[in-house]
Amino acid sequence: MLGTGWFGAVAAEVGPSKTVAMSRHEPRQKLALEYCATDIVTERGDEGVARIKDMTDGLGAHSVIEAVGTQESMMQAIRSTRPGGHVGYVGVAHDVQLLGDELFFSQVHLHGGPAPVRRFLPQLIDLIWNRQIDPGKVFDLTLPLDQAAEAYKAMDERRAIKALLRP
Amino acid sequence: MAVNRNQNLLGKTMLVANRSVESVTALKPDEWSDLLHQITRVTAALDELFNPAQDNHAFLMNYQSSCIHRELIGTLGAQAEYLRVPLADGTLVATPDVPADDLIPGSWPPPTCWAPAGSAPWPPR
Repeated sequence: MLGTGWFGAVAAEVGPSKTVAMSRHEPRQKLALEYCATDIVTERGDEGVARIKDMTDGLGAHSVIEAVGTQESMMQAIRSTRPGGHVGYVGVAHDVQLLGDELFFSQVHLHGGPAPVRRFLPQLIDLIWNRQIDPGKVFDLTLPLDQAAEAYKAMDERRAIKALLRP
Repeated sequence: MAVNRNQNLLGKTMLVANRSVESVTALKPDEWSDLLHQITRVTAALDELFNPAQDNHAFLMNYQSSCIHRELIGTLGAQAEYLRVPLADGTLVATPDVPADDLIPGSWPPPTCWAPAGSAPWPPR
């Protein structure tokens, strides 16, 4: 899991046997461990990929969630995935370019984009309504609506994982 | 939206299919005509489902965010106090009641997280 702000909430419910959160940000690491992560990898790029390979008998992960949207994160996700595995990407890609020859030999499934969420809603509403999951913990800063700019600043400067705006 | 209408009607099909023969033959004339009406609509809905029009294909395939009628929420002022949600009847699901205040923060992140998890399935343990 690359980009752990929101994603810790996922695997608690649908958990595989090992869930690795890739993050250098301490509050996010803590949250990821609280939700579902079994391991944290702080290295990025090739070093991060090497750590994942070490943990998976040299193969790479079955499934990787890319939730950042940078070139480095996307390549890290693809290279951390084993042949036949899947990358789900929801980080909005900014200037990410993929090389055809690397894709060709990676043999991984890539799928993502603006998240279509309709099919998940009934189940998720049920889980939240019955307080079986508490995804709201990602919001560690609450500000009034007219301070939206400060909320973004706090996230940008990593003073907040996610900021919640109240009207 | 067409797909919601379809889902509703398909639900009714199940009800019809589960009726015993006796309960159908014992129907009063107006109930009978109502049932025929339902079956006609169900047939039409099924037809639409398996021969989807271009404009609801994205819905039927669970790619609502790529519907050709989509409007990007961010361009409509999603940080305003009020927002008109386009096509809300096709994509929103009602909660059982008005949610408690402390449930509100939890309502946003999960769907966006489930989507890439759905895109990257893992083998069963």
